[in-house]
Amino acid sequence: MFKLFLVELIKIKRSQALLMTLLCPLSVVLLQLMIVVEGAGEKISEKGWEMYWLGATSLWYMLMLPLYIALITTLINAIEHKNSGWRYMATMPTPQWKLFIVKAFVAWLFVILASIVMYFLTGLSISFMMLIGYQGNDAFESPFLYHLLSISITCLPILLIGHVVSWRWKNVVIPLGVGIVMTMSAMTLVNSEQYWRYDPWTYHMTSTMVKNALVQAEAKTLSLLLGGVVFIFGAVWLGRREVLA
Amino acid sequence: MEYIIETNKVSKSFSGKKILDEITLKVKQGSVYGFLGNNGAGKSTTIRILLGLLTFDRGDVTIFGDKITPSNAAYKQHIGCIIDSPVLYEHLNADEFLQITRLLKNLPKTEISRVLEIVGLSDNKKLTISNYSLGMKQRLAIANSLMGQPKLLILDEPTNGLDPQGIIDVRNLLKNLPEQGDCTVFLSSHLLDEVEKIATHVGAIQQGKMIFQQSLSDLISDPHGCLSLEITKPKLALDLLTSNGFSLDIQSNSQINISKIEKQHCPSVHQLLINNNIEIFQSRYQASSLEQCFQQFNQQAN
Repeated sequence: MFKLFLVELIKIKRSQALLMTLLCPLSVVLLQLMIVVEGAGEKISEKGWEMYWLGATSLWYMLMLPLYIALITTLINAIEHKNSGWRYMATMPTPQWKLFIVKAFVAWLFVILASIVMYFLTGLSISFMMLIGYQGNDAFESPFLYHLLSISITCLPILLIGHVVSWRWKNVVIPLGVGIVMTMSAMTLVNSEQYWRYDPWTYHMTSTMVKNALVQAEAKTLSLLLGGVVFIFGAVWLGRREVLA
Repeated sequence: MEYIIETNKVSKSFSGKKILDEITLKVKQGSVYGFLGNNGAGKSTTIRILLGLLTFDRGDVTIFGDKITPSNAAYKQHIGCIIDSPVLYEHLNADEFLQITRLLKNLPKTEISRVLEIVGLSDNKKLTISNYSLGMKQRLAIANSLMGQPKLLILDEPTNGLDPQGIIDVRNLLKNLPEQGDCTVFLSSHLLDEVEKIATHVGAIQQGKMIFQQSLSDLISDPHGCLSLEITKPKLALDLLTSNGFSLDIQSNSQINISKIEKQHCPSVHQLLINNNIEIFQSRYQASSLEQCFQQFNQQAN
């Protein structure tokens, strides 16, 4: 498994995955910076940097993270679709189910990495703003580790669904389309106390942005259950799939 | 273990259409087996089944003495292959690409330089594969298939895209592999004369069924060949030669072909024609070849 992991890293190192891991968080931070520069400076003085963190993390969790997950799973599998790589990998002494697991693991690591980059860039932007004269309290008091732990669990269902869809369909429009449509619908559903639990795209939002600890725990439990089901289904179904391309 | 590959009545259908119909293959250890067939005959499907890319509906497939099952991938450790066009990760360079095979097959680092040396790509190993010519890509695919000195090489059209010198190099390489080490080559190609130069055994498939399978020497040991003549009065020649027991046909106004004739009978044919005032402009004898045998079996199967 470890060698297969190294193989996936070799394949991905010259792809656009690393660039996207920088650009997606960067776009969120730049957007947040623009909002502050446009007139929220006074509010920072009143409420401290908590509002700034909240703005950046809301943008990240509600919009950019699910889109990034759709993008990274598509990129990881597009390498195989583009180069007839499925055929190559199927001729190697490695079962396909192991490839499914390792690719999912690599995508998961990228999601964690992108979130770390997002927090780092947000911190960097705060430092920059303090340097140019913005004042406020609690500059670096974000629940970073707790959020990271939460999304490492609650991203699993959508990551695995994206992985299965982008493995199964060669056309990148399908996994990206699923990601965009579900992200947009989740932005509405996350506000529903009753229906959020029926949409896995709301779980990471619920676990990081809702203050109720019970609801957060429910989102994590649902993520583990659904993630487990999709994981087993994907490994069995795609692991046995014939390689026609 | 006498046979490296052994299939027993393997059948495969796609959407109700039978692609392979009880294929029985026997590939001897140390042989170079030429697998022939027209487009759509079932060659690629057979190769994909051997490599576990496709499952089969009925029958048994045994490689290295072990039966293939969907969960068994370990036997691929000792197989090198090229299927259809070369499969390469074009955003990588040759060194990185071969690293992938090295890691997956758990091979020493020296293997990469060894195989690049064989195919003459050592100087281009840091060049991105997308910048390679078709011939270079084919060479890299061959290098990849040689990683780990496989016991079995399965090659589908390995000389595609190669220049004449490249074809000669690959031919010599494949010919020498069984002699150099414990390697069996299973080769699919449309180029019958290329197969004839390399193969020790041949088998052919048509419409999903094996139409013949034997050693090349047995197949083309038939002493009968074909005599092509360009002459005057072809109709008179037809009557004369038919009455003397030869089977022939008229190709054009001046050309006749005498099939199934032994070389030693050619002078008497010439003599007979000259004695009857038939002038001979050209005469060419062609010994039995793989191409002839293939056409003959094809016609019989049709």
